[in-house]
Amino acid sequence: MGLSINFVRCPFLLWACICWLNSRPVAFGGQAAGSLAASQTIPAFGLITNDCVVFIGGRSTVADAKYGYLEALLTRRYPGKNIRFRNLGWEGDMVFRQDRPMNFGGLIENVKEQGATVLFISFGVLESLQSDKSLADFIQAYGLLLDGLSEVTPRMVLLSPMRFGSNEPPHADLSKQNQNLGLYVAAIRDLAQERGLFFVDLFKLTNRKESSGEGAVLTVNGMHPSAYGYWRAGYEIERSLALPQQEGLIEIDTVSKKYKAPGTQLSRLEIVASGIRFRAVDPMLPGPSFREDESTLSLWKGRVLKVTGLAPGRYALKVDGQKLYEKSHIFWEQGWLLSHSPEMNQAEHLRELIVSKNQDFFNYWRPQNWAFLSGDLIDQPSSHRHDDFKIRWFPDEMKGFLPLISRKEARINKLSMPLLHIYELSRVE
Amino acid sequence: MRIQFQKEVATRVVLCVTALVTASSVHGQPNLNSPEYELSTLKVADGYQINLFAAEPMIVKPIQMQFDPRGRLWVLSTTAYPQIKPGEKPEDRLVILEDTNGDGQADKATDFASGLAIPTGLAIGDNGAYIGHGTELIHLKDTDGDGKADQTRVILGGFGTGDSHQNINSFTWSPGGELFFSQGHNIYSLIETMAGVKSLNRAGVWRFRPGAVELDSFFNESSGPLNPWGIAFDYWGQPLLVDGCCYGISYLLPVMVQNKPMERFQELWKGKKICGVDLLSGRHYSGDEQGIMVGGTFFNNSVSRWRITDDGSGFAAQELPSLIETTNRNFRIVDVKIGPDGAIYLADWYNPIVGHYQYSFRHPDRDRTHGRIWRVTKKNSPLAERPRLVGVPLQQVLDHLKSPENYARAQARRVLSEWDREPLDIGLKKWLGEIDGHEPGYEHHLLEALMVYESRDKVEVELLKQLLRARDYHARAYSTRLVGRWHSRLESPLELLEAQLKDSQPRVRLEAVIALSYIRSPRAMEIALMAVDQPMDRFLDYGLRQAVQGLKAYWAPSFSTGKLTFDHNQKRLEFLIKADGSEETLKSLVDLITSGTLSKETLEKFLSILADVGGPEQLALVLDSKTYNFAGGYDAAMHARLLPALAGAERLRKARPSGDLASSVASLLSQPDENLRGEALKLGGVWKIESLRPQMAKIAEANDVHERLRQAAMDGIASLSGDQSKDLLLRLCAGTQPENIRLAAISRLTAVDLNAAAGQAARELAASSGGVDPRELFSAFLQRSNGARALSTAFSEIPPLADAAKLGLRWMNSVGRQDAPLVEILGRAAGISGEAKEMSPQELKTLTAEVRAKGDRKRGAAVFRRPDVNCLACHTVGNEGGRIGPDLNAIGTGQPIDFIIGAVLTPNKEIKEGYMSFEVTTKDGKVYQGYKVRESTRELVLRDVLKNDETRIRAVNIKGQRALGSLMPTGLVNHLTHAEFVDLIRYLSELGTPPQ
Repeated sequence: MGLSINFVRCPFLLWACICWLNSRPVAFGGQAAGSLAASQTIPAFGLITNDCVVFIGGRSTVADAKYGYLEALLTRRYPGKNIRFRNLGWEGDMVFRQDRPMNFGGLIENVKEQGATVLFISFGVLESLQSDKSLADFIQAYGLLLDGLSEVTPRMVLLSPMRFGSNEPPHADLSKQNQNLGLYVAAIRDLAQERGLFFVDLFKLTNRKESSGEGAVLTVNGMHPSAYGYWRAGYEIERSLALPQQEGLIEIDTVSKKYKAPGTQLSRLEIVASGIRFRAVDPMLPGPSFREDESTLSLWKGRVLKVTGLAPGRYALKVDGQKLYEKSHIFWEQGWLLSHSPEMNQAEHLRELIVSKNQDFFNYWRPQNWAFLSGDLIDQPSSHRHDDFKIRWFPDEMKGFLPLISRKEARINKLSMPLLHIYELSRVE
Repeated sequence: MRIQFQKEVATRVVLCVTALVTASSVHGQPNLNSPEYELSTLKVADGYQINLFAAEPMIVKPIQMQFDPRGRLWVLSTTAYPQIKPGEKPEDRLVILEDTNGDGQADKATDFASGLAIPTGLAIGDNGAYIGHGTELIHLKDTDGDGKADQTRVILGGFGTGDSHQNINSFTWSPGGELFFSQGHNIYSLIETMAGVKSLNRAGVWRFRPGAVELDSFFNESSGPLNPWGIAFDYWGQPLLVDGCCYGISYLLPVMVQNKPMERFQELWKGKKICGVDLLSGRHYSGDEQGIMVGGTFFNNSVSRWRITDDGSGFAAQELPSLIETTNRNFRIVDVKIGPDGAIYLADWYNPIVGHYQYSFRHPDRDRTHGRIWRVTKKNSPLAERPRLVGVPLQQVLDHLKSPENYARAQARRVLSEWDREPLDIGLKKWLGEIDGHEPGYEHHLLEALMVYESRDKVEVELLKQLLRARDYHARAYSTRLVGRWHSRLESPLELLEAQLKDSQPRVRLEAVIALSYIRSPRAMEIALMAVDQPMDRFLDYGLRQAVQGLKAYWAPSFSTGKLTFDHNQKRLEFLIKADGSEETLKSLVDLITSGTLSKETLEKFLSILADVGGPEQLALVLDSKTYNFAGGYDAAMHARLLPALAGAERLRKARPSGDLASSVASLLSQPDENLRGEALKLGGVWKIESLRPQMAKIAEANDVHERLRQAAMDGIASLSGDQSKDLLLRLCAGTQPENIRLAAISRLTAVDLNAAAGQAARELAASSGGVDPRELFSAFLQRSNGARALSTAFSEIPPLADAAKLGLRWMNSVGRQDAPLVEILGRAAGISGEAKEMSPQELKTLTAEVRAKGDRKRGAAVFRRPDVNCLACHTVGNEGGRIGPDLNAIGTGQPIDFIIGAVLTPNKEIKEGYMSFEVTTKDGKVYQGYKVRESTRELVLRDVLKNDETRIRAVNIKGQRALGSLMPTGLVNHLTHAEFVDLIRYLSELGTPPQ
């Protein structure tokens, strides 16, 4: 397959494929990096084919499934690698206790059932609010939980809580709570360091100052990530795990016919008097963008097309034959950020499919009417066939979710692979 | 097409011929699923009419509905219920229905949202709708004003979905802008908030304050309703709750404390499953229809009505004839809302199957394609004027706070809760300033303004204080609740609440107890417990018990160190210790008792509490003589006063002191104090100390000892029971004994051989010439199961003298006993008839008119107080009277004249909730009659009118119980003249109404 050749040539991909087996030390997590590197050698973060990544934690973890930013970010890094993601978050989960319905099984059992190979673990925010438990209790209980989980898989990433949001009334001043939460964050960092686990500091994230809308605020209700919060956290997790960002610049000089495209496999560059034409295929899809509403769009890092040496005039950019922009040569010479592109559409499509798959998984794993499916009411007629009490239709019907989820995951896997696109910048007569 | 009733047919629905022909018949066969056919099956109460407001395809499977301030009806519907299938893309909708031409039918339907998945709760607000959506409470918002939701925000997440017919539901705004909703028995919810994880296991109610993101839950482990589906606030903001399962109607306030109760909360009424509820109000209804509760009794294919009346600090609910009945099993009203026109709107889920447990979720008969909204109006009564609340100036909205229609006021408050803050503050101040203090409903208007401030969470101290001292107690009650909500922002909330707790009205006191439970200080507990200084009722009892538990973290530490004394008030301490019921609290009490620091008076109070609730070790402390050694020596009198409580502990709780009881009692018998010896003799019997029998027998038969001591010895003998006891007691019944000894012996004999005792009693009453007071005898017999029967059997052989019979009857009347054969035989002996007067509806109508025309309130008051009628012996009016029967202070406002007549003539016909008398028989052969104060799995508490005391009966000791009816004797007024009777009724009918 033509595309795969391009992948292998890509340095990012090589890095990604080396993944966990690679033991070179990687700095991450800001200040902690130095001490961490000194005390312990942690392999670089990476996922391998058929990995199953499981997210656990409280409400902040549960609602992540609705946005899928982190999942999309990780998925696109391992195109075609068939990585599965399972969100096993449950509201109220703390390191101290995780309440589940009757016959649901405990957290560790659930994690095992899903075949987890990598865990993203997010605790601490609720624990910091518990008046009857101390920080020491937290550290001890977290340690015990990690002991249990490490029997399922040793590959764990500990996420710190986010800062309590202070710009929403009536939580005008949460500095006390944040001061306390900071101690928990430090404790989680220490736990990770002691155990050689990855740690991501989300506590240091602060609200965007330049705008005041909801999209600028990391949390809602003071404590749970907003849509923007999840998006922002996703990239912070990538950064902390030392997963490098894709280089988006394509720079072409029509005079010297030289080009620079560090993050893209560029081929068949044609330069003619009326414009340029080339083929590009990226090693991975761009990360998801954040759309607060119809009019605003936030990009982490977008593709910039810079074409110098163009004859004065207006130029239209077509990608795969579809016109996206029409700008004067001045804009193209300065470099124009492509906030719309087929790659971005594909990335967004990927994220939507992930969210849809997550919904199916939620309906399968945590369905309504659990009392009748597997709880204390399985003997009621509800879950039995109306014309034959001996047959329970409900458990059988629930199995119908599994092929749905698998099919969506197959589509996700396919969609995670970037496609080749034809770029055409031509003078408008 | 409009479907109407023919006026001359009151209870049967007849369709317009045109409607039938066009819509419901194909080739002459009626479509049994058409709205027209369904309509034809509905029987509507006299004076009401029904029409179809909307039906499929406009609306399918409605589950909750709400009117908005524009008068549009939002209907939440789900076809995905009860369970989403794999691959199914749920298309559940939120539809806005409009009646644009005011003809009483929806003519426009717009989808506000679609693609929902089993939504179960709906409230309108903040430019959109709050929706209960599986595990989440979401808000759908229309940000661009095109009438469709374009933004979804998750407000709270983590609600349980273990049983989708119990998911969060019945969203209802409180008058103060709080969102109330409920969940059912198989739901376990965990919600993360800045105040920690809020949990609610099984059925209960949530209260959410969106602005502050404050969340509280009430009930716990299904301690109240099992599947609450419907919340309504009355004219004065009091919360009522209905249950789609088993517990009918409940008053929510007593549970609204910060606690997780483990104790069952008793409902006001039960008998039908109710889903969806609203209260009639405003100009479309007559005066006596105001406040009537209408509920969807879906299980019975009916719509039911209840009259809700004040009952002490709480309410009573009495079922009225149904509003709608049908045999059509598809008719399933699951929500009820009074609309902007005053009409009753009914959401008809239209389903032959309602059982979530009882039928397969995939039963093919579960309907997924139909749904109706019905509209019920009163005939010949003008509709309420639709208020204009949107697009009008602020003052106009504010004026609707004076509306008699709950709809208009609630929607006005809703609009105001979202009004721009500054102009509202100015406008509301101005509006308040312009209300005339003399205009009717003045205090209610002020309260509405306070509710608006509450919904903005703006503490308005002056207005609050003014209402805390309002003339109308309803206003005092609601404003008291706000002291609890705002306590952290008020200067001296505890002082304010202390004043409310001493209010003359129990409702205000209950609100104060609830409000105090939110103030985390020992002082809050101290004040709350003062409630027991005034009469309590079951609502206050429950609320205070929960407050004791909820505030424990704050009072217990101070109590254990002796800092918190509750003024050493026995009643308060007793309540606290019983309500808490924990070992450590009891230990604190023992520490205090043994500290040697208490005064004798206090010590005695504490010891009696200990005897009441303590275990063997603590009871031993009460029995031990050393406990009563003081600086001035041994206090035998105090010791004697406390010993009966030990007998009570044995009888009620099967609890007795540890240690060698025989030698303890023997040593007491050697004491010189006669009372002490007497109590020791009784205890010896109660504890069945057979070795003491000879000593008891000797004292019982000794002519040279005090009569009281002999009687105590007889008590002991009787408790030991057996043939020896019978022989001895029979000997003491002999004519050679003094009368008092004879009567005492007969009384004791009832415990050993009832029939032998009855024979002796009959001989006494026949032989005597009325000189013997029969009360002690009657009391002894009537406390035993079959005692009345034994007595009547004996009387049939040896009839009592007329005077003795009269005294017996009078005594029975005064304590509310009416054992039929005995009353009959005594009546015959005394020559008195106790038959009830039967009255035809026509006679009743005439009499009612006569009461209105000729009855004299003053003369009636005199009759009421006459000794031969003696109403005050049982009923309270003003501040005097007994507590056996219902408080009559407000009977005139709550009940129509014909009802009062019936209640006086045939008391058993209409029994006020809580005044049903029960007879409880215990395994040891005792029988108790009285009202149930409370009942739990552990014990039954009966208010025994014989003793005018509460009797606690251990549940394991109960053999059987049966409802007896009213304690009020039938025929009590038979000897009144007709004019006296008319005056009496007139007096009663005006109690609680303002003087004319």
